Amino acid sequence: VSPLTVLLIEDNTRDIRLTQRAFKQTEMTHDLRVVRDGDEALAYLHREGAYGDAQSAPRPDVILLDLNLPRMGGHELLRRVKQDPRFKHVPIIVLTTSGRPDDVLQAYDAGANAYLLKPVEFTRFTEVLEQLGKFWLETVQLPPEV
Amino acid sequence: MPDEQAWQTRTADMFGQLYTAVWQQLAPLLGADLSLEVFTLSTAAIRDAYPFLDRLVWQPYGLVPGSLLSAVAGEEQAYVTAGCERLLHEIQQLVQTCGGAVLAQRLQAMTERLRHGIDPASEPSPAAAPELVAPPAARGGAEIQSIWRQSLRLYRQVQAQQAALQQARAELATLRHATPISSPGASDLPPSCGDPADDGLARSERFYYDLFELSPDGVVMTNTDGDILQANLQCAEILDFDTPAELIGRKVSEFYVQPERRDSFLARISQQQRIEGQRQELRTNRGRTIIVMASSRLIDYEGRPCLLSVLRDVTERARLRQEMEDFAYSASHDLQAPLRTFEGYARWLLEDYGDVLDEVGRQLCEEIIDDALHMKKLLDGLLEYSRIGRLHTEAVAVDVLQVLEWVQHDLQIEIADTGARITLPETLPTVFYPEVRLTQIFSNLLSNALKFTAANRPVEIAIGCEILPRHYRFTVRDNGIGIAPEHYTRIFEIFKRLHTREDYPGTGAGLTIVKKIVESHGGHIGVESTLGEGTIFWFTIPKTEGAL
Repeated sequence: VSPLTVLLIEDNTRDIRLTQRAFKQTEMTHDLRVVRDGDEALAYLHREGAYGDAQSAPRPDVILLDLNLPRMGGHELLRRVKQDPRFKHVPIIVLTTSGRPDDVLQAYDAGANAYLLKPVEFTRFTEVLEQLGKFWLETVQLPPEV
Repeated sequence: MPDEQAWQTRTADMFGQLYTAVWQQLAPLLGADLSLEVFTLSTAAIRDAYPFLDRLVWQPYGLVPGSLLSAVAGEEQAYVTAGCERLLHEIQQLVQTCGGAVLAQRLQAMTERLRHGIDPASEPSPAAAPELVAPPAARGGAEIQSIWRQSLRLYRQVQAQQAALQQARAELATLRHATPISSPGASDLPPSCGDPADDGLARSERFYYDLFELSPDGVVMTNTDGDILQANLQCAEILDFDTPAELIGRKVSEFYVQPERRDSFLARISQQQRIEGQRQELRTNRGRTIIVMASSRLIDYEGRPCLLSVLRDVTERARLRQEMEDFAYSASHDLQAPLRTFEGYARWLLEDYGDVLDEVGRQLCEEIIDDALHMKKLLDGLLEYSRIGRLHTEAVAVDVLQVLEWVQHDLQIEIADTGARITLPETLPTVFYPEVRLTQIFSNLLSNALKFTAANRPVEIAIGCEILPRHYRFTVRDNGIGIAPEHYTRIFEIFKRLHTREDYPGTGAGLTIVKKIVESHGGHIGVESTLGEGTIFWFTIPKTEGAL
C-alpha cells in the first residue's frame, strides 16, 4: 500500500506536534508534510525554493488546512488553490477550531471537500484522523496524478 | 354567493324602507324639490367616506327602487351598514338644523319604530315616542317651505366654508411637517374638529392627534392593499423622508426588504387581529437597510378595515448586540485552541512518561485533563448563549407534545437511571416558536429535574400547561432537593452554580440559556421552590409571534 501523502498547513507548533502524534497513533501508512503558512504552502505546491524537487515536496493526496493562518488567511489560500487548474482537484480538508457558520459556508463555497472541527480531546482527535485516513486512503478514488 | 346576496338584499330592503318612510314624511311638508335637496345634501356630506351612497338615485317620488341594492354591490357588509346608518343620521341632523328638534325627534321615533317592525332584533323604540307629524294644514305650507329653502341655503354655505377651512388646515399641517423646528402649538387643531357642539369629540380627537404627533415611535396606517393613509413625523424620519406627506399614497411593500413577507403578514393579522413585536427589515428612502420592531392592529377606520402599526427603529440596538455576540463567539473559539494543548500534552505525559511520574504527578495530569474538558464545556455554553440571538431560527407551528416526546427520548438514560415518573397534561397546544429553541428549553428544565433529585423518594416530574389570555404558561414541577428563595436570581446567571461539580455535574449555563431563549421570544421565566420538597420552573410563550 502506498502511503497517503498529507500536506498539513498549520502555524501552531503545538497543534503540529499533536497532529503528528495523532497520525503516529493511527494504523495508517502516511507521509505527513507540514508547512507553516499560506506562502509556504504555495511554494510547496509549485515546487519553489526549498521545495524544488519531488523528494522535498511530494504531491499531496489530501491537504489539511487550518483556517487561522498568519498573513494570507486560510480562506484566501483555499480560494487560490481551488482556482489553480493544476491543484484544484486535490481534496482539501479544513481542520479548524471555528464552527462559525460563516466560516463553514465560505469554506465550502470556495471548494473545500470537507470541514472538520479539531476536537479538544486528544483521543477523539486520533479517532477523527483515523476515519479521515480510512476514507481517503481506502474508501474513495483519489484523482490520478496529472 | 347566496349568503352574500342575502345580506345585501336584506340591508337594501331595510334601508330602502327607512329612506322611503323619511321621504314620505318630508315631502308633504317641504315638497319634492326641497326633500330631494335634504337627501342629496346629506349624501354629499359623507360622500368621501361612503362613495357608494352617491350611486343612489332619487326621483321626485323618492328613492328609485333597486338603486340601493345595485349601489351596494361589491361592497363589504359592515361598511355598507355603517354608511346607510350614517346617511340616516345625517338626514336627521340636517332636519334638526333646519327644521328644529321636535321635527327631528318625531322623524327619529318614526324610523326607529319602523326599523323595529322590520327587524324585531333591533332596539325597540321608546314607548313614549311622540305622535308622528300629521300632514300639515294648508296654513303656512308655503311659509314653511320658504324658511326651509332659506335654511338649506345657509346650510350649504356653512358646508362650503367648513370644507375650505378643512382644506386650509390640511395645508397648514403639511407646512408644519415641512418645518421640523416648530412643535404643534395649542392652536393647531387636527383637521375636521373645531365645532364647539362636538366639544367632547374634539377633545378626544385632539388627544389622539397629539399622541400621534408626539409619539417617539413611528405610527402608520395603511389599508389592506398596503397603501399608506396616514403617517406621523417619526415614521417619516425612520424611513428617511422629510415629511409624512411624502409617505401618503405609497405602498408599504416598497419598503420591505422581502416584499413577499407582506402576504403572510396580512394573512396572519386578518386571523389574529393583532401582531406584536414583529421584527422586520426595511429599506429606507435613502437605501439604508434598517431593522424595526412593529406592532400592528386591524382596526375599523371610517368603515373600512385598516392596519394601524407602531414601528420602533432597533437597528442600532441590533448592531450592538450583534457585536457583543460576535465577540463571545470569537472568544469562545479562540480560547479553545490552548485547551487542546493542555488536554493533549497532559495525556501525552501520562502515556509516555507515566512511569517516571509518581502517583501525585499522574493525578495532577488527570486533573489538568479533567479541567480542560470542563472548560471546553463552559466555552460550549458561552458559545450556545451567544448563538441564541445570532442564528435566525424561524418560528414555525410546533406541537409541544411532539417536542416533549423527543426530549424524553434524548433523556431516556437519565430517566431510566433515576426511575423518574414523568406526567404530561391531557392536552398540549401547538405554539408558534422555533422548534430547536423549544426543545432546548424543555431539555434543560427536564434534565435539571432529573439531576437535582432527592435521594429518599421516587422521582416525580409533572409538565403543566395553562392557557392565559395572551400567553401559554408551561410548568416543569419536580419533587427534588429544591432551591432556597435567596438563590432564585442567581441560578439564572451564567456559570453560577449552587453545588460543586463533584455533587452535581454541570456548567451553570443551562438556565441562563433557557432564560435568554424565553425572553428573546417575548416570554418570561421564573421559579417557585420549597427547599427539600421540590421546584417548579415556569415560562411563558406568547400566543402570537413573540419578539424577535
